[in-house]
Amino acid sequence: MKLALSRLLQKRLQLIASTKFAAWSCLTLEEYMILSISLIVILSIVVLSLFERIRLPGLIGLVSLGIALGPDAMNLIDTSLLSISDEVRLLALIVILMRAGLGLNRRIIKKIGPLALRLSFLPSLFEGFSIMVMAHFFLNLSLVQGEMLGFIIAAVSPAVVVPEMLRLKEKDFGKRNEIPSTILAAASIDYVVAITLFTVFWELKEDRMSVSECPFLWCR
Amino acid sequence: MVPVEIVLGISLGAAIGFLFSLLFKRFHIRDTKRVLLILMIAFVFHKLEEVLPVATLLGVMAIDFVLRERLPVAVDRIAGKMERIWVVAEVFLFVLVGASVNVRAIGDSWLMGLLVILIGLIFRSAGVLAATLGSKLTLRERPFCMIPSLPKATVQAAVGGIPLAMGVAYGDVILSVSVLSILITAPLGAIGIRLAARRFAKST
Repeated sequence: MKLALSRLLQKRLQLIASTKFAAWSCLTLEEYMILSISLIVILSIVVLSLFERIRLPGLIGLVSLGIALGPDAMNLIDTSLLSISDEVRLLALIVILMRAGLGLNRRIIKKIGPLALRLSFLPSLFEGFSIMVMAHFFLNLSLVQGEMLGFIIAAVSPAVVVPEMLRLKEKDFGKRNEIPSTILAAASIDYVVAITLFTVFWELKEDRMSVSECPFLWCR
Repeated sequence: MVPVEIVLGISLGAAIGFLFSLLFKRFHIRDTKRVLLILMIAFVFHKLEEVLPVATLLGVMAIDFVLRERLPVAVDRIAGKMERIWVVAEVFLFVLVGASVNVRAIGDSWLMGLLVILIGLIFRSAGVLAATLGSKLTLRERPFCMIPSLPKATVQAAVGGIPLAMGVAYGDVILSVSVLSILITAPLGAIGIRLAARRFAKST
């Protein structure tokens, strides 16, 4: 029993030794998930403190770090971590929307409601449709494809905007008209609007045969 | 259909928030556990979107809103805890966004893509100004609102590759322009917000 166990252990060690160097070039073994998580966290802390020193927003450093470690560059992130990447990002997004929601109360919403609502769909509509037309002329996309592109691009990133606005809010910035709260609420809804419009047109693409590439909702 | 989804999402979220407030009033639970509970329920709630037509992301915000109405003191502590969770979430969110940015997809059409993005941003800013018409914002505050509406990152990283993966014609162009939009607007927006806020604070 004991012998078998030690032999197993020995085999295991050999396996690790043999894959040790290969691991960094093609991280496919599941054991490397924790390794790449620690790599990400350690490097992030380094990058974040560096960016704080040169007074640039940390997220720029983090995204660059992600690009550098990602599959297109050094490929140091374990595939099992990459495969759950969508879910992890979604969780983080919910955390940020929660923070946005916790920053609002009834008094603020009453004050900023109409403006925040207009800010949540007008800019995206302007951008989405202008890109639709521009992509048709400059990139040879059909109007439906251009529209898809337009509303993928039109979505603002709450993950970038919300923390910055919460920071400004703490500093009582633009307090009189509650500007940070307005933008924070608008950004959170804007995101939902753009995604919804993208999906609407996505479904339109599916039954394109019957609607003959008409990108406008009211044509249906 | 969309308005129904939004109303349904917000009312469901509000109901969840109400149940939470009852729970927290009835039983004493540590703040850390409360935060974890709220977050986990929010995740489960969001998964509802796959079976029911609800806008759960707005619902998630409604949970907090009702909680704040019913338990104003506890919610401040919960917000503090949420801020700490964000420290961890931020790292993984942005690093994974970076990792899913397909830099090699940018390709040859980048100049035209850049042009399209910039024109889009100009129209977007016009949209922001149009939205502020009729509000009480001062003439200084209105252009300020244009800047925080610039940054793009999360959606473009998550959705940009879908048309290509689903075999839409020109899906590669869509991906390339999405990637480009992240690389340009995320730093532009993030730095812009700070610079603009600093200038704005100085001038008032």
